[in-house]
Amino acid sequence: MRSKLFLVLLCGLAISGGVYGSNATSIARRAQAADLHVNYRGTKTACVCLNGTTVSSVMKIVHMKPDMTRKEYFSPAALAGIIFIQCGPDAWMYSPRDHAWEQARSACRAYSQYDRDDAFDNYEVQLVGTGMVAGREAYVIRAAPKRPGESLHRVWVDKQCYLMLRTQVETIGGTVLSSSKFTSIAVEPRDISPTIFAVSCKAIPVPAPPRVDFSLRKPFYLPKGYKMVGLAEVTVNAHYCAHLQFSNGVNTISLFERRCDVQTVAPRMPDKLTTVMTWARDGLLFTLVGDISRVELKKIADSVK
Amino acid sequence: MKCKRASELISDYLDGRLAEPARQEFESHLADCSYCASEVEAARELLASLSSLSGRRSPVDCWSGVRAAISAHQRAATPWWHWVVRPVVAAPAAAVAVALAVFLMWPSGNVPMASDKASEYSYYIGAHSHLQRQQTFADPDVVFVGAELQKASLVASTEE
Repeated sequence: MRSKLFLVLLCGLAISGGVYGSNATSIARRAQAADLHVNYRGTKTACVCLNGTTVSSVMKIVHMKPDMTRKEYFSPAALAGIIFIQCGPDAWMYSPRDHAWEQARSACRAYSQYDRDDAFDNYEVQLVGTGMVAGREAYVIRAAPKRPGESLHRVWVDKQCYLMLRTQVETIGGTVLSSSKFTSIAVEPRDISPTIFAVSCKAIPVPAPPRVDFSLRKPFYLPKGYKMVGLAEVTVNAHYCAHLQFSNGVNTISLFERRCDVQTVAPRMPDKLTTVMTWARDGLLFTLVGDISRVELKKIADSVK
Repeated sequence: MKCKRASELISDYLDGRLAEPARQEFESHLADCSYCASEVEAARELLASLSSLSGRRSPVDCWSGVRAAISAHQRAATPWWHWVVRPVVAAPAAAVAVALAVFLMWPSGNVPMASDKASEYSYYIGAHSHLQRQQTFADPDVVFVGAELQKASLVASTEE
């Protein structure tokens, strides 16, 4: 009798866990697409850890569904005055440093196989509770990596409109690496004007990039869970450049390749850039960018053939 | 006769050692040149005053003392920059200064290289952040802020 009761309890826990898990996945999926269905205006704080120092940025966001967004940055000093406007497929950024609007650099995307389900294959996604953010009720979702070396994510998703109201990225040990939070938000305000998503003066357009004219090298090693999800062709400082894109659904790695005059330079990390590794081989310059360990970056670099 | 040559002959003229026709030529120059005439008069007065002095002999080591005193006086009286403008010092110094100026102003390969590198890394960081912003659970604002701060730090390090 006791063993039967235990079995029932176990089944109940498994079912409820499954329901919670599927709920969490469903909520996370809806959160990814929330911008398509809601208008909002709010003030947000984003904190990032850079070279051991936590820097916080305050911004004002106005969004009009499905794809128009305006963001104005007030702090820190390095970002104050930047205005970012997304209007459909076009994006523009005002730089107070240059006193000019510049079109966000366009890339010729050769192919893209980005699949949002990769995140749910590589992370254990759970609904761990509810909470309040900026006066609104939210689900709390926890996404823990199934493999070591990746970060743990927590997101607070609005119960009504599924907007991500708060996020937190942590190490497995609990150290917070970055976070963001709406400090105030108005959902479906009636006074958003479409005119605020127009660039107010002549902006500098970016020409379409040319085709890459050399054979690409690929890494034979990638950390588990990552796969190639895209390839883009761009121009960087007048060089034709290929951008190979890898993802595990949540975190990404980029490999940039272009011709260079130098034949061979061993992999190294440039000053102040802990997520970048660069090297030259066979007259090509490679730059690897990824928020993963230095050891993993080096293993990928060594495997590029 | 020109003044320069006349000034060289003043001593011989006053000593009566200037021969013809140089003496005649010298005197005709003095008649036309008040400056040289005044120089000759000054030298003549100096000689007269010297000849009026007694014929006492100087002590044996008097001259070395006088010479030391004159040297000391010259060192004290000469401004420091006279050393700088002396040809033996000024010519090499000017050459070194010109070489230094050319070295400093010549467009060095390293400076634009550093700037280009920073701009290239900035681009890569921006493109990578664009990719990262599309991922599940990623907050595009956090990713954007992180990338822009990294780029700002690169620009600042280039300008240092």
